[in-house]
Amino acid sequence: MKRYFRILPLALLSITLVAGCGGKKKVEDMGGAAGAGTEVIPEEVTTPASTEVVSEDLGAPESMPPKYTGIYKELSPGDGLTKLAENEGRLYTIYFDFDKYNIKAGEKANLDLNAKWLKLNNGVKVRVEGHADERGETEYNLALGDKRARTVSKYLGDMGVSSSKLTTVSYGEEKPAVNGHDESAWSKNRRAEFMITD
Amino acid sequence: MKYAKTTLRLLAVVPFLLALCVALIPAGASAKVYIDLAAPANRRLPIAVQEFTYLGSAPQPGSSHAREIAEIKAALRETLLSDLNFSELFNIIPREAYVEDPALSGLTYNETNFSSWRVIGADTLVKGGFKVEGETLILEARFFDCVTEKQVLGKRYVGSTKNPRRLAHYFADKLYEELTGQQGIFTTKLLFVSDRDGNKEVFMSDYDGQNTSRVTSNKSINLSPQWSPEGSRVLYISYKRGTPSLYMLDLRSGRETPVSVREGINIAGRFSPDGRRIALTLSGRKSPELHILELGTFKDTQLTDNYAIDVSPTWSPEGKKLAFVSDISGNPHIFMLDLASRNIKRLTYNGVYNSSPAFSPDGRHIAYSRADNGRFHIWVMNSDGKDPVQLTFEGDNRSPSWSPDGRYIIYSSTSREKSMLRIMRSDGSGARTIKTGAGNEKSPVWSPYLQ
Repeated sequence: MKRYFRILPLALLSITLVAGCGGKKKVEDMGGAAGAGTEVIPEEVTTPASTEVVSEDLGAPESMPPKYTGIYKELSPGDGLTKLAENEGRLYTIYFDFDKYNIKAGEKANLDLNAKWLKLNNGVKVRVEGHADERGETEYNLALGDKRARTVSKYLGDMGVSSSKLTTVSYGEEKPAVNGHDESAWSKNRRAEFMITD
Repeated sequence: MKYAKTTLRLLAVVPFLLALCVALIPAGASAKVYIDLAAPANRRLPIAVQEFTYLGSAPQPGSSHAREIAEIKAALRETLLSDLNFSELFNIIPREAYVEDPALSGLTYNETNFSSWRVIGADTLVKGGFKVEGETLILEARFFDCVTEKQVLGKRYVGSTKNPRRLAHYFADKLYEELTGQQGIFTTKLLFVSDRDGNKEVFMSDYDGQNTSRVTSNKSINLSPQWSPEGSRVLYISYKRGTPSLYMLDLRSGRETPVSVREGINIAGRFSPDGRRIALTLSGRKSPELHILELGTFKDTQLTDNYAIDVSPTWSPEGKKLAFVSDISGNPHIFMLDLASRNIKRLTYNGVYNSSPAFSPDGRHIAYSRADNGRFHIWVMNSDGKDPVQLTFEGDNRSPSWSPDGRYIIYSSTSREKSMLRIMRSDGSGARTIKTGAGNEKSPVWSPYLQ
């Protein structure tokens, strides 16, 4: 018996609550036999007209750049870097350790050559693209790609390459160089690429 | 699991009171707790869902109208059953067992032979009928207690024939609320990223992965969608101008506006709980830092200033704190920033990689993903960083997002090189895959309540 006395005030309180809510309801419940109230379901909050949603269809102009191949000044007769620039419109790619954006000792030689080449061909503009491997999260990897692109750009700047020749973009994990789900693929995807744009 | 129990115990009081007060209004009736959320696994409520009856004049057999009616009839029942199943609170009695012939009985309590339902163990029963008038679909649905032979809930909904599932979700929400005292989540939605078209676009679906529509279709890379607190705007990253920038789409008008298109990265945008500000990461000319942008004035406040990565903020529900990811201590960990004092406190110390924090709707917990040896799993900790609990153990799991009632977490899960969306209870139990379509689906976010 005692239990009921403790519950009763709560129950009365909840009746008041329910009554209060009932007043706000738009719709009465249908009665037992005859329907009394009808609820009109509001228009769905969704993309109203899929074709209208994105008015701007710019394709992917920056992500698939034309290859700026051309004739460039050579570091030495027939050197590999100039061949790469002439044939593929890019310079040596620099690789990173997992979740790191410092330049590894083993990568410095190629980065130094990129710097030397850019100073020799000082009309060339380059877009530095920072990438991450697929491990980790989308947003963190975008930030990681940004750090990688900036770290190598700053290094090139310290080596005397004019900052006006360099732009950066991060692609995070969105554009792997190699498709694969093991360290051999990942190690090739943690990178900064140097694309000749002009 | 302590947190889940406490929450559920609190939730349990509400339906008890509701049931009690319902019982006290008509004198003499006995108190009935239909569903006690504190013990969802112990006893499921036996329920029968009769075939829905077409209430209009019978269509010509073989006509397209007859086919439409048959499809709507199937969709309404299938959706309701799927919602009831999802809640894991019901024991659905299969149709083969039903004795009462829908053609020979009515839809109301005095036209129902309750003993024929009790005989097959159906303590409760849903009956429904619908009408099609042009493109308008009218659904009448009733829920009966077969033991007391009373109608507990009766609703009539008017919607569109283009989306019969939506009417059934509305009824499921109401039914869930009637039986548990908690608002249902069956009319909520998901945003996610899919590569089904070859490139990454943002998609929207119902909470169950059905009824998918495109949010973006610009053929560049689109990432990391987020809901506004009222559910009518979507924020996302797009490369449509070449570099990662933030855009906002108003779902009602279809209008898209650039939110931040600056040098460097403009990513990780999150609406404040009042919908007026956006926390985001901008790198500008230096390093990825947290900022807050006022949406009306575009006034920008920088919150962090270091050479580390600061990314993926999540607002506390009252809007006073941001949990976020930083590698300032060497590798990615979760930190808490107090917006008034700007004090920053480290929350995680274990794991090699901690990321994508998500505040629970009640603000008491943070879900996140953590990797110890390459594979990510979903964890939940108290919002002060204490008592971390691992919730997933199979596959590779990331990007947790809470349902608005805090009872479920959706996340992306990769196994055999395919990424899909999964939903589990917030204590890690009952994980299941949500069928959204053909592509790799990632970065799911659960909408707020939409009605």
